[in-house]
Amino acid sequence: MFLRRCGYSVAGAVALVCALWLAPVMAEYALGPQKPVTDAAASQYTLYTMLLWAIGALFVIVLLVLLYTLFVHRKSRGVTPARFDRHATLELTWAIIPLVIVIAIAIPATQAFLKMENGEGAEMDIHITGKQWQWEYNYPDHGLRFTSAYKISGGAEAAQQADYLLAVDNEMVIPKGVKIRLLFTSVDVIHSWWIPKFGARRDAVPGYVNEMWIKVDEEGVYRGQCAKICGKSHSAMPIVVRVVNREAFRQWASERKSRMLSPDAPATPR
Amino acid sequence: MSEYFDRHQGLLRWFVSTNHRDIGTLYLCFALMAAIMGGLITLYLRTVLLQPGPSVADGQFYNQMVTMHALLMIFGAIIPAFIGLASWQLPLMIGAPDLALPRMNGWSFWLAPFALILLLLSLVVPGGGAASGWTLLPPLSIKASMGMDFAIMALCLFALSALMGAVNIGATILGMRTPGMRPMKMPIFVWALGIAAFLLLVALPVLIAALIMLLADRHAGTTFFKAAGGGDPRLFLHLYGFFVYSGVHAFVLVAFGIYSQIIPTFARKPLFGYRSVVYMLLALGGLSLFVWGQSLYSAGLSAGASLFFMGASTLMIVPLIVLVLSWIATLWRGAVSFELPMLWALAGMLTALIGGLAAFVMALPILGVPYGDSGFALAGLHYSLGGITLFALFGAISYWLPRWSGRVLDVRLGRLHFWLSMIAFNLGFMPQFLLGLGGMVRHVADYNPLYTDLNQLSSAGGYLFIAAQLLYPYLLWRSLRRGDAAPAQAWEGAEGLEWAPALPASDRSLGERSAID
Repeated sequence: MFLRRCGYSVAGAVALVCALWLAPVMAEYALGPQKPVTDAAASQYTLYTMLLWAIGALFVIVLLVLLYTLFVHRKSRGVTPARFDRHATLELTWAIIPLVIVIAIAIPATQAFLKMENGEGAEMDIHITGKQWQWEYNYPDHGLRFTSAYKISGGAEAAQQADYLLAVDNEMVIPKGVKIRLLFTSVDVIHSWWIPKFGARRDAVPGYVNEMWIKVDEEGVYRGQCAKICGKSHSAMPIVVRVVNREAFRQWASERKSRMLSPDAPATPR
Repeated sequence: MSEYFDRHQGLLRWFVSTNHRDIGTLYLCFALMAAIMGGLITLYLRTVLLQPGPSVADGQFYNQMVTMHALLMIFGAIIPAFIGLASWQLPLMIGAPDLALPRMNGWSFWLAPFALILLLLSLVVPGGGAASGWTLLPPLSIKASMGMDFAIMALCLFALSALMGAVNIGATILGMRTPGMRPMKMPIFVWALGIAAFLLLVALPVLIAALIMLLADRHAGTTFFKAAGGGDPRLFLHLYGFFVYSGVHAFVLVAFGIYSQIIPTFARKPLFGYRSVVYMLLALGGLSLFVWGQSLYSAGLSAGASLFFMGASTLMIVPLIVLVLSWIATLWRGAVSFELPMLWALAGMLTALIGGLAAFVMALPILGVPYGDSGFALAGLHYSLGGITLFALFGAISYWLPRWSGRVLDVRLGRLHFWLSMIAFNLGFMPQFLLGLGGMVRHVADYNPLYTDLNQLSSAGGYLFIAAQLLYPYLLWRSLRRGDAAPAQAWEGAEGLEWAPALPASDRSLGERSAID
């Protein structure tokens, strides 16, 4: 009767909207939290997955209860409405239970956050400077300094390449498994350095220094973008970090340094 | 009531009236116009983002459009719309002849068109409009050209207008309730307006201060936001963020007040747990004053400060859940019908859940640090600002317009507008959550091919949503011209002073005041 009166179109629209809401819970999209390669990212992934299930369950339960009451307690079924409008115990219960759940979530979230912000055992420093519209990397422990700017591949097909907007001329190379302290500043406006797979992001604020620690456990190439609007080429200010084993890192550092010190090197870091 | 439109024909009336209904109408029409302008910009933005590849010659113009979209929607549409709604409804619901300060009501409206002109002028002055995003972050906003000054001054005017509106609302609720209407007997919408007015009263001066400080840094040699002079760009984030978070929650509260009026009417059952709902609205309002630090999680906030903001922000989900459960308990064993206002309220309820839960996720610094400026944050803010508040406005207008005008909204067109909007909205913004988790940032005019499919889905939703909104003025016009007549008691289950057959006299003379039993 309900369906006949309101039409299958309404039911279909409701189903479509519900599907759109539930899709993120069920889908296996290529996008979603990125595969974690640091402890911080791993705890973010775990927490996010746990939250998603909790949120999904809450949403589904609320939706089902709502759909039930909308269907069963409809005027068109000729029901007489009740008049109750309070229930002290119920109201108290459904305020306390969410509070307990919030505290239960806050505890692991706090622990993970404090661990992420813990700088003990850092072995090396890298200073990262944001400028419009590139990044400059400075390795004080190794005497290295170079800029890293968006490398345009050129040609009309550039937009279809896998590293479009995510490739740079000089990658930031770091050793695997080493805890590194990153210091951020800027020379012009606020930028933000973000590598999703590291679970790491920090703003580069002009005149101030922010610090962050990362320790990447897997070799590979990791890409990110500037995450704070910083002017007209904000979309083209990528970050590429190559994680290699310690030996490869030492080789890269010395090769890089000799290039810098050679008589052919340009006057400003390139 | 239908004599409202017959009396005083003539253009001059609209410029000199201090009647709360006229000004409410002016506010709502203004808001609709600004919303359409902001919506047209959405078409542009979603077209640029339809495919990877450089589709804008000038990234600066894109940034100007992004900024203008947000400023138009928030300051030009949402804020005036809610104040206009309050202007119309508040006196009617408490049995007052007008707002406490009718002339100030007029003044607060007329600031808005001038503010809008200043804002639009910012686009045509040398250097173009503000291109720093609506957060106007220094030093980018300090280095910007003249258009930024226009935008700052426009926002100051909008803020003054809203501040006067908030004062008016607060004064009216405090001083002009009909005899017998004790606080715990006020309609829940009036409670929501009162709390929102208080929040705006606290938040708007901070906004104005921040804007003037920015102007001073730009032209008067001060260094509030420049490290070289002892300042800090993040100070602006704190000040502006304080305004944004308290202000946004003010409007979300009013939206919840609207849902709390509509749902009991169409469930034909009183609101469940009225007292708890009041306490939860108070809790939401109070907590919203302590959550602005979320936008600074990645900016170098200390761990202790981050945890403080996490505490306040995550607690906000508790009142939200209680509200949603109260609404469902209101429906439970009622006699529910599905007129247009009810559809909007139900959609708003579910959107509130999504927006609130997304905000909860972002409130945890372990997740807010990485995903704070990503598509995830964008989706969350649109579900809250665009979803909860917009759906509440559509619901409120469909609910109360029959009382204001004596005509019912066209049912079929109204339903078409609703379903199109709902599907398009979710199609447009649900993919943004995934895009953000996948690494796409905000404020970009271009992206890697990895993000193409979801962006195209989002653009499709955007186009459909704007197309649905272009239907809305036609819906209003047609219903007001040729809609079915509505009795004073326009909805069967509606209770409250605004549905009484005789309302207080619409001029500023004292009318009959009705006492509550």
